[in-house]
Amino acid sequence: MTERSTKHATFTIERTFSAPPSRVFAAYADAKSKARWFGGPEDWEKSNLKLDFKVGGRESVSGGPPEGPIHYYNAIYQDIVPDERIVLTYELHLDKTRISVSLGTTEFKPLGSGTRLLYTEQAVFLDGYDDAGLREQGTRGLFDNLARSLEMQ
Amino acid sequence: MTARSVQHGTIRLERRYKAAPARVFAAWAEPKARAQWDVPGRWVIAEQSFDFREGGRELKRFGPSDDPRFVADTLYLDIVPDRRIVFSYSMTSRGEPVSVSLTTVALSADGEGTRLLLVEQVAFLDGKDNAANREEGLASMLDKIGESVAA
Repeated sequence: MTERSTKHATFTIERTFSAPPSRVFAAYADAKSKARWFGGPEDWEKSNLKLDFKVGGRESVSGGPPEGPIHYYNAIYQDIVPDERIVLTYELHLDKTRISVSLGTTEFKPLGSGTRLLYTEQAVFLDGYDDAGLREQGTRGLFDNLARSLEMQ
Repeated sequence: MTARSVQHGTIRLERRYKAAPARVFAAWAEPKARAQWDVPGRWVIAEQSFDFREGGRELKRFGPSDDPRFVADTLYLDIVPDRRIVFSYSMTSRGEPVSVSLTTVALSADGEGTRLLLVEQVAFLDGKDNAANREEGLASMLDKIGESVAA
């Protein structure tokens, strides 16, 4: 019988961008823009990102290192306030195993002519796949990609 | 214009019930059993749909009997029979956001009974609710489960 366990964790990441909130928000709202920065390290093989950006809409992308495992990300949008806030839940599978479910809140606040972004993730890690530190590290990497993507536009 | 804000909180509640885990699990899984407890205190459920399976979505309108203004939109994310239920729900009041929650219910055998651990991770939106109030509501529902499985 599989050992069942749950471990809860919360982490927050704060970033500032020189782009205004409307531009940072657009990097989340549009599938092509989001695919430029979201979906794992550069050496991963990735699927196309699918995004239905509305409350109740879904998002999915998968990818992983060539040797595996494949990471499957599936999200559902719970609350959206244009240019201000996005709340979603997402689950992550490693191959066929669901390893975590998370509640992610992104807040966009004006800071001068730029944006202060605050991301809070409240996660439950399942059955011993406790990787709160890794998850935070991976998420920070995504925000590095987002910063580069905003600078290139 | 609504002033936007988010307050994050984590609520943990533990209960010990005299019924076996399968019986406590059924309090969620079976519509008739769930209807006995799925609203805090003396509030009422005005409308409710059931779809208890991974990926299933349920809607529930509830609140005080003279003004059932809240709607919970629930999605079941992970279900292990008799052991674990993970679900999300967003709550609105007349269409205005109140909160989004990620809730974990873990059941384990405790002698002939059950130990239940509920952890709710919540984003409270725009000052419409708070952790103390939510905890009181959840505690009320867990107490009702205790009464329903003891009967």
